[in-house]
Amino acid sequence: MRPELVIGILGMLLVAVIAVTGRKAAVSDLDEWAVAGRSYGILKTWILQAGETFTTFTFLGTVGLIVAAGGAGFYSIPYVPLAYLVMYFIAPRLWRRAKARGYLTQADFIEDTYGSKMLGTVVGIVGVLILLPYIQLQITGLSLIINTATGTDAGTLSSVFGFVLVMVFVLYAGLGGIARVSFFKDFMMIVIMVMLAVAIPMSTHHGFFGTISTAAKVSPESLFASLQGYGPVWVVSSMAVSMISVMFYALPHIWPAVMASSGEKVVRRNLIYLPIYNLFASIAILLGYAFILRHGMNADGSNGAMLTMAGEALPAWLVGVVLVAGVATAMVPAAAMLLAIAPLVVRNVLRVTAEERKLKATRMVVVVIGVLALMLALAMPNLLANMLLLTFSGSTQLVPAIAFGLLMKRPPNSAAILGGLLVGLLGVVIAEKWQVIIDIGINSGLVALPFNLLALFLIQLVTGDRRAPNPAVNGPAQTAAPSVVNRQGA
Amino acid sequence: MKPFHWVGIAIPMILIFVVSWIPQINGPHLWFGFPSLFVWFCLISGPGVSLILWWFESKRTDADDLEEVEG
Repeated sequence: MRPELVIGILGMLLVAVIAVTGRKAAVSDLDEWAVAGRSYGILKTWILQAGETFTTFTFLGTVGLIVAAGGAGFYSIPYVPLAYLVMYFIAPRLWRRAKARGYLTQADFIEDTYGSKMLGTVVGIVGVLILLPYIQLQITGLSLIINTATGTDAGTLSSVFGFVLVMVFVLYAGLGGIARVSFFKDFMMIVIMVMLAVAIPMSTHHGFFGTISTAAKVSPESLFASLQGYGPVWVVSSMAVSMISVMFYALPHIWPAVMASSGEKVVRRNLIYLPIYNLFASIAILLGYAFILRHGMNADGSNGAMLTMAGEALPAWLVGVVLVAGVATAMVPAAAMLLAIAPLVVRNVLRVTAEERKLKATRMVVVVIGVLALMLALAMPNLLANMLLLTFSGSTQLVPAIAFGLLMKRPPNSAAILGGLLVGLLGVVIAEKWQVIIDIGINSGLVALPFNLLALFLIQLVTGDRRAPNPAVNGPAQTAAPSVVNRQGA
Repeated sequence: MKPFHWVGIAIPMILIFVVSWIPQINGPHLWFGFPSLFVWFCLISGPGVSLILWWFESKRTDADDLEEVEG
């Protein structure tokens, strides 16, 4: 067995062991398991949120994006910090509402705000459909990392092993385990990024800045957004749709990190410090120029570019260490997604109400969803790859429900929100199917969003009534959002 | 939200979308050794946002907290 593979497998075990130690005491309820009893300070929240936001895409995909799209790939850096400008005002409000009403999921918030169990169920199902292919992406990333770094085809088997470990530590330690292992993952990622930023340009004999300037002479089109399909329209629309999605917490798996914070000040301060993490992602993106210098641009992209270069520049044992950082960037976000998906199913779709059965049911769902994601990833990778469009463009269609619910005292009624959401999702599918719209470079989520809003407005106009002044804004503390809906009889 | 909040949010938002259309920035240029688009998108935006949010945070008062809680 190659030394890189041995180190990589040991690294997976280390990730799981660190996560398991994140459980302080026996987890007795869902609140403790899913949002750690809402007790985290600034550092833990920062690490947790960075751990969930920066995935295998940050570690591998951004380099591949520069190789495929040139400077247009820079779009993937600024939209996250820019979204924080608005989140600074939205996130404390969301945290306050979640704490007062006992929310554990994104669907809890929408169900309670609009007083509709049906809407909550639909949002829960959409959340599952959004996250399932995203989990599969992490499994595929895990396999790719191992195959590329070791030069073997051990990736599939190793990724199954790694993902089973993820399920085990999520079941055992919940959010506490993910928070603990996020420290390890972020430390490894930053150290490895800095090391690669030194080692890879040295191996090209040009140095860091010399590599960029030489690549600029060889391939000047790689410096900016100009290539066919990757012009300013693509950059602006991709940035806009991604920013809107992040800004309004459209992806369900980023909710637990906010709700786990111990207070509004923690939520605000965390957003001030998070952009610092983005600077490290910026280092990775520039390594794309070292690849361009050696291998030229590649329209199909090269997700293995970073690891290929690491293999060319480093000894085998050090490639193994890079591999450990790589597998951690896949395992930690996959764990966060599993943790978010299970309460969605139990609380908003299956509606398990007995407190003593909730935690058990949630753990069972982790196993079922985990096995399902693994099976689909292995047997039908194309199905999930197609569903990925729903993850990024589809999640944007949840933005009106979240934004109106957070910002309006009298939000639209649930029928308008539901109608808009369904029209928006249909719009994403149609926009992707009719490539005419996509070919000019506009993101399908952005294309569908106006139709979502138009349907919402028209249904609101026809049905007439708005929601009463939002009871969730200053409502009394609750333990479970669905029970609020039950009591209101909606 | 106060007027200075709107200004602090609007200026970077508008700038980041406008620079993609300015050839002097979105072009084959290097600034300080980095691609010019990278300097704007990556080196300025992240620390810039942190500074703006620090500014917002430093201007917060107890009255702001109360106002937010009371909606």
